[in-house]
Amino acid sequence: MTLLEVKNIEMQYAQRPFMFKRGQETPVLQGVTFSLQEGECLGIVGQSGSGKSTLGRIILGIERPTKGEVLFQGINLYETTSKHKKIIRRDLQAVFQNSYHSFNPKQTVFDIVEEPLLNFEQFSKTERQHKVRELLDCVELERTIAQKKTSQLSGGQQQRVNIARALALNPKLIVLDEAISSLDMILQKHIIHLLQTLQKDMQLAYIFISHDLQATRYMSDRIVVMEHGQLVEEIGKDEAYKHPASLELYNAILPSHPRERTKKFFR
Amino acid sequence: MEKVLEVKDLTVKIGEKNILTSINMTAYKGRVLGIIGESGSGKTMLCHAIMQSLPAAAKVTQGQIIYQQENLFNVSASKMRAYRGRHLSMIMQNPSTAFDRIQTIESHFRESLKAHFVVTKKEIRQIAIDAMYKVNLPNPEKLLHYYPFQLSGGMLQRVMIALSLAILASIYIADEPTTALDTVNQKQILTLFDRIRSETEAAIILVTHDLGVIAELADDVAVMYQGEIIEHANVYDFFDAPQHPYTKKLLQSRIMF
Amino acid sequence: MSLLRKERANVKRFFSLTILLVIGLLGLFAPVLMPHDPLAVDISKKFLAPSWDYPFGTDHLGRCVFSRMLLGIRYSLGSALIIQIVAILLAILVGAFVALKRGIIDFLFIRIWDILLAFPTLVLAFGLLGLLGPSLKNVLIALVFTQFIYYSRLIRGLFIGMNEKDFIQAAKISGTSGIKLIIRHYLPNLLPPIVTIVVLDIGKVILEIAGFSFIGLGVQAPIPEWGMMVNEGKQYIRQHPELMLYPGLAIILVVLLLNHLASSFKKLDQ
Repeated sequence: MTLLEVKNIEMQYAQRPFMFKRGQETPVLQGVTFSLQEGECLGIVGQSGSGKSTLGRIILGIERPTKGEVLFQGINLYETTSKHKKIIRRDLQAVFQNSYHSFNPKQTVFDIVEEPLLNFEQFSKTERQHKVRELLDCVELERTIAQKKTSQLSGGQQQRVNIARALALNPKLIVLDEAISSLDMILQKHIIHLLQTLQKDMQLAYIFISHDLQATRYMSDRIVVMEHGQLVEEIGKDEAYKHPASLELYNAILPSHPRERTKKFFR
Repeated sequence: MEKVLEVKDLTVKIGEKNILTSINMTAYKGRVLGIIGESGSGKTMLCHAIMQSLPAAAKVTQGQIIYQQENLFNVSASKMRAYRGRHLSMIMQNPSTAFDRIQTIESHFRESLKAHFVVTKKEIRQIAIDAMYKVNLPNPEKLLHYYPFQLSGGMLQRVMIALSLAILASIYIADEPTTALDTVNQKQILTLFDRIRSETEAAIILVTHDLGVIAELADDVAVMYQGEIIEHANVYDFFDAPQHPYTKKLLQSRIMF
Repeated sequence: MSLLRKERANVKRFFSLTILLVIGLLGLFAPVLMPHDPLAVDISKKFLAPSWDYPFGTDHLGRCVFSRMLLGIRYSLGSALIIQIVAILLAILVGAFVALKRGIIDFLFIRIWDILLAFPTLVLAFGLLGLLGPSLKNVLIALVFTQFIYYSRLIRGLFIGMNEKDFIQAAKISGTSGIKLIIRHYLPNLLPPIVTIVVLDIGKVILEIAGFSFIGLGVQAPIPEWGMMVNEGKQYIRQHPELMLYPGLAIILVVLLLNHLASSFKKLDQ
């Protein structure tokens, strides 16, 4: 069953003078259409300014597009009642880029992971405590971390807390927006493997948004490439890239050995 | 290979803790030295030591940093000021914090150039525009009048490099210069460094946590772990025959296709 | 060296906080602590010098000045506290609502508030008091109103500043909305600046209350509000200046202590 359908999304912000950044004179998003099946991982790649983060927020239902529809499990996200929206919330979660601002500095890890459970009344206090402990185990965090504040955690630990929070309500789809970009390489690999294991165990679908084509290829079944707010190419996992924007991203992948480096300047 | 800067047996302490222990490394003309390590390994402190901008609490208990036959620790403050920026140039990770928000790009160039050379306003403009062309910035004439907040991260990083080019630095110390950039910008900046290295014969010390950056650009590699250099080799040996277990673990973490 | 300075600042803050608390407690327990009825008029006892029986002497109507000062704490300091608390609570209600809803509601709020804020606060308060008539109750209403106008705009700004923070977005995605969002996320993180603002203004409000009483627009006799006491004492400034001095100095002392406390909060914030 088609889990997510994105149809002809257009997003236009009010004009701002003096902006030199890419993509500000044209609409942030234009004519974006694609779909996602249950259990699938779709990668969305593009340079900064390509509109992929905005697209992520629109898919999550937290930013209304100027035109177009987002259908999640057949329901139009921006045309439903808020009651219905709350029901949808359980199935549609997010993991943002790890940063100081992705957590309320006054909350402990326990509070953060518990919050989604608190919002949906059917869990008793003991049930919640049990569930939080379970979630921390799932993301390979020691249970003693629960009483700490996020400022006391490392980047990798913070990101695991983010993931635990996203899993709390047993969602069908998680949107990951630059979820591993600020982590170092060893951690990136760990987190990607964790995400893949969770995907299998919990039958999750992912939308993996990133500027790093290499990591995205590793994670995703299919990839869509964004440039200047438009979807320019959609490719399967091992297909070749044709569009210049995709090729630019592909060529930007750094080599894994010096012999692979592009011959450039005289040494 | 001509030596430009040499760090000899450097040990730096803060309180009782050694933040750098017996560091030995050399930067050569026209070559890129990649320093790889996790956060906390001391790589940023090493950069500060070379630039003589260590925090006040840091004590150098041993060692020297030799530049132009002088030990930088013994050099007078005014001479160091002359060196800093003019010969030794530091490119930082977060470009937006390195700029003064209320000054235009042109005035940043003016400040840098006037600190080291005697130049007229016209000359400053010309040098700035030339440098910005070299780093592939579009419309340099227009950019001169922009303020830092109007530029994206990738562009600011390039402006920072242009500033160093303009004053003809002989050593670039780049501390995670591309970590905050997306992959395409990253590739462009690394290519730019390669060109600078080849055209001006500057020495480049590139600090990173990313093996891909090392594979792409470095000639020699030093691995830092908890304040020490645990491995030092040329880049091919580093990838093909790692010695230290930490290095081996590092190499295994690459995502490979 | 800097550690010593910190300690000294801490001691100073502790000092002013303690004195203020003592004053507050005295006001709270005033009815029990007062040696005499502050409203009891006995002309035969007028202008008595300070003694064990009458620690600050008596005023022109033979009332115990000390007892009036004690009770006055409730009217000067107590009223100011009430005004601030009510004003900030109302301001949070309105400011948060407007900041979260945005859209037309925010637009209207800004336009209306621009007009209201164009008047200096004292002028607004004067106008209201003129309309309502002078009395303690009306002073409270007028000052709550003026403080509320100012604070609600501030609160709106603070809340809007938090709107785009990632953790607010994350909380919304977790299903948190409305009041829960405000109580769990916005308020705990905005408490420091809010408390600082509230404490900083208590002194100002005390002066305003006293000022209104002094010119006869505020509290009416025989209520022993300090400003009123200064007002009543002004006729006897030549022969018995102490009738103005006691309440006047009290006002100055309390305002200074409060300002000192608030500025040390500010430093903490930074």
